[in-house]
Amino acid sequence: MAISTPDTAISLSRKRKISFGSLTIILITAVLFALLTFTSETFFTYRNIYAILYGVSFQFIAIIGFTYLMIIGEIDLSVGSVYAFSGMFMGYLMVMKKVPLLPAMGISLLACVLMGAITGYLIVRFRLNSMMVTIATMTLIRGLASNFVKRMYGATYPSAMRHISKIEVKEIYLTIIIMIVLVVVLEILLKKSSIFKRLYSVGENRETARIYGIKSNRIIISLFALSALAAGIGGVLISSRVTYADTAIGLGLEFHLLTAAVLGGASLYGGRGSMLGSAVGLIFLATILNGMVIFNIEPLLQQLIVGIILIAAVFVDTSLNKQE
Amino acid sequence: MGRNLPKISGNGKIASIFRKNEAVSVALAVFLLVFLIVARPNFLDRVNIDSVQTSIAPYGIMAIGMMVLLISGVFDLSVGSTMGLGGLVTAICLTLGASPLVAILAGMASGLLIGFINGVIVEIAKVNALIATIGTMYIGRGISEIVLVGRGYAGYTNFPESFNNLGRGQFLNIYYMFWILLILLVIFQLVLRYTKFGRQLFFIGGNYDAAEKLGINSRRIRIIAFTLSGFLAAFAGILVTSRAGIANRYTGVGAHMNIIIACIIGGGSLIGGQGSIVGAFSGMVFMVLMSNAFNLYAIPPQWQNILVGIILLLVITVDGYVSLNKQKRLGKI
Repeated sequence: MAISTPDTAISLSRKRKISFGSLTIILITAVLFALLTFTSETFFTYRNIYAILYGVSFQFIAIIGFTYLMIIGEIDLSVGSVYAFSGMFMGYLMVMKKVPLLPAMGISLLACVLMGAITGYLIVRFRLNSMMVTIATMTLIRGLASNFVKRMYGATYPSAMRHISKIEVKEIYLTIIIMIVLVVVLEILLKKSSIFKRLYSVGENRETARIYGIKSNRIIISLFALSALAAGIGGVLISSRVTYADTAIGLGLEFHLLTAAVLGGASLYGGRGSMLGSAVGLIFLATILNGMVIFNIEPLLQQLIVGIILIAAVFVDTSLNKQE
Repeated sequence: MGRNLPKISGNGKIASIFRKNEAVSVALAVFLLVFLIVARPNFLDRVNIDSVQTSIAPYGIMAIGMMVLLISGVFDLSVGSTMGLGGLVTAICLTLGASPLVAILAGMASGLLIGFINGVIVEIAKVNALIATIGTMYIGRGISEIVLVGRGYAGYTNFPESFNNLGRGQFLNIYYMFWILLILLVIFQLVLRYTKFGRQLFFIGGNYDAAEKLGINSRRIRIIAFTLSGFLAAFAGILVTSRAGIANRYTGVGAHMNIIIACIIGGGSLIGGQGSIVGAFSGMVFMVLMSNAFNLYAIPPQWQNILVGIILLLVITVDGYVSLNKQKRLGKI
C-alpha cells in the first residue's frame, strides 16, 4: 500500500510545469558542440572529446548524490571537501601506514559514508538548514583533508592507487564507461521506478509525502550518506589521477556541481532534477573551458560566461513557470 | 523590552533570543582576547595588533552588509569577488591618473552597481539568491581576470602616497579603517534598532509573505540591502588595496565563506529573521583572533578549519535544538 500511494501524491501535487530540464541543456550543449566543430579543427577529434569525457567522469560520480539531494530539496556544500578528503585519507593510509589498497579504500569510503550519515542525521533530528550544516562540515572536512596533505609532504601515491584511474576496458577508460552506464541506469530509475519517484514527491511537498507514508527522514539521511559516498568515490579516482595530495582538489567543486545540476534542470526548491541533465551540465561546463583553451582565450574568462549562463538559465526557467 | 521590533514578537521574546544568539560569539571573542593577552605576551606587539586590526576592519565591514542580508532572509556569495573588483577599479583609476578621491568613488560605485544588480536579479527576476550570487561571483571574477590580462601576478601596484595613507594611517594608534568599522557598527546598530527600515528587515526575514501582505515593499528593501552589501564589500576591497598597496586577483578569494561563517557564529541564520550587528562584529573578531592564535602558537592552519567547523556545527545544532524545543512547547509541532 505504501508503495502505490506516493504516485497519487505526485499526481496530486505536481502541477503541469514546463519542464525546462535536461532537454534544454542537451540542446545548448549540442549547439556549443556544433559551433566549436565548425570553428575549430581540433575540437571534434576523438582525442579531444575523449579527454573532455575523461575529465568529466570524475565529477560525474560526485554529482550523483548531489543531484538526488537537490531533487528532495536539500543541498550538500561539503561535496568538494569530501572529494578532497577521501583520496587523501586513502593515500595517507597507503603511504604512511602501509595499508594495502582495498582496505585503505574501504576505510576511507566508510569514513565518508559515516560523515554523510551524521550530517543527514543532524539535519533531520534538529530540523536544521542543510546549507548551514554543510557549510560547517565543508570547513571541518577540508581541515581534515589539509591535515593529510601536510603529513604526506607531497609524497606520490603508490602505483597501485595511481593505477585505478588508468584502468581501461577495450582501450576506453573505465571511469568513462562507468559514467555512461550510471547515467543510463540512474536516469531510467529516476523516471520509471516508484521508489525513486518518491524523491520528487519528498522534494515537492514534504508534509504531503509524510501523509502518504513516505519516510522522508530515512530518505534524507541515506541520501546524505550516498552523497558523501559518491563524492568519496569520485575523490578516490581523482586523487589516483592527480597522483599526490594537492590542496586544490575539490576547491569550489560544490558550486561547480550546483551550476551543472541547475543547468541540467534541478531546482533549489526541490522536486526537479535529472541525472542525465546533471551529466550534460558537467559536459557543457567542461566544453566551454575546452573551447576557450582551443581558442587561446584566458581560461578564467570561463567564469564570466558560466555566471551569465547560470543566471540567464534560471531566470528564463523561473519566468516561464511563473506565467502559469 | 525596549526593542522596537515588529508586533509579531509581542512580548520581546524574539529580542531575548537575539541576545542569546549573539552571546555565544561575544563570549567566544572575549574569551579568546583575554586568553591571548594573558597567555601570549607577544599578542600585544605592535606588528601583531596591526595585523589583527587590519584583518578585522575590512572583513567586519563586509560582515555588516552580510548580516543585514541574512536578517532579511537572503545572502550574498559574491562579496569576495566584489571586494576584489572594488579594489581593482580603484587601482585602475589611480593608474590612469585619477585623483585618489575620484578613484575611491569609482571603486565604491562599482560595488553599488554589483550589489544593485544582485538585488534586481534576486528580487525582480526572482532568481534564487544562492544561484544569483554564485553567478555574479563568477562574473565578477571573470571581469577581474579580463582587467588583469597581461598584468602578471602582482596586478596593479605603485599608488600615490595619499591613497596608501587611507589603509596605513592611524589615529590614536588605531587604524583609520578600524575607526571606520566602529562608526559603521554604531550606525547600523542604530539603523536596525530604531528605523523602520531596520524593523522591516527582520519582518521580511521572519515571514516574507506576511510582510508583503502587510504592505511592506519587501523587494525594495532587499534590493537596498543587496546594494549596501555590494557597496561595503567594494569599500573593504579599497581599504585592503590601500593598506597592501597592491590590487591583484587574489583579493577576497574565499572571503564569502569566512564572512558567512562569522555571521552564523554571531547568531545570524540562512533562514532569516535573526541576527545582530554586535553578532556580526563579534563573530568576525572571533574568526580573526582564532587565526591569529594559530599563528602565534605556530599550529598548522588546517586545525583552524577543523576547529571552526566544529564550533560552527555546535552553534547551528544547539540553536536548532533550542528552537525545536521552543516550537514544541508552543505546540507548533
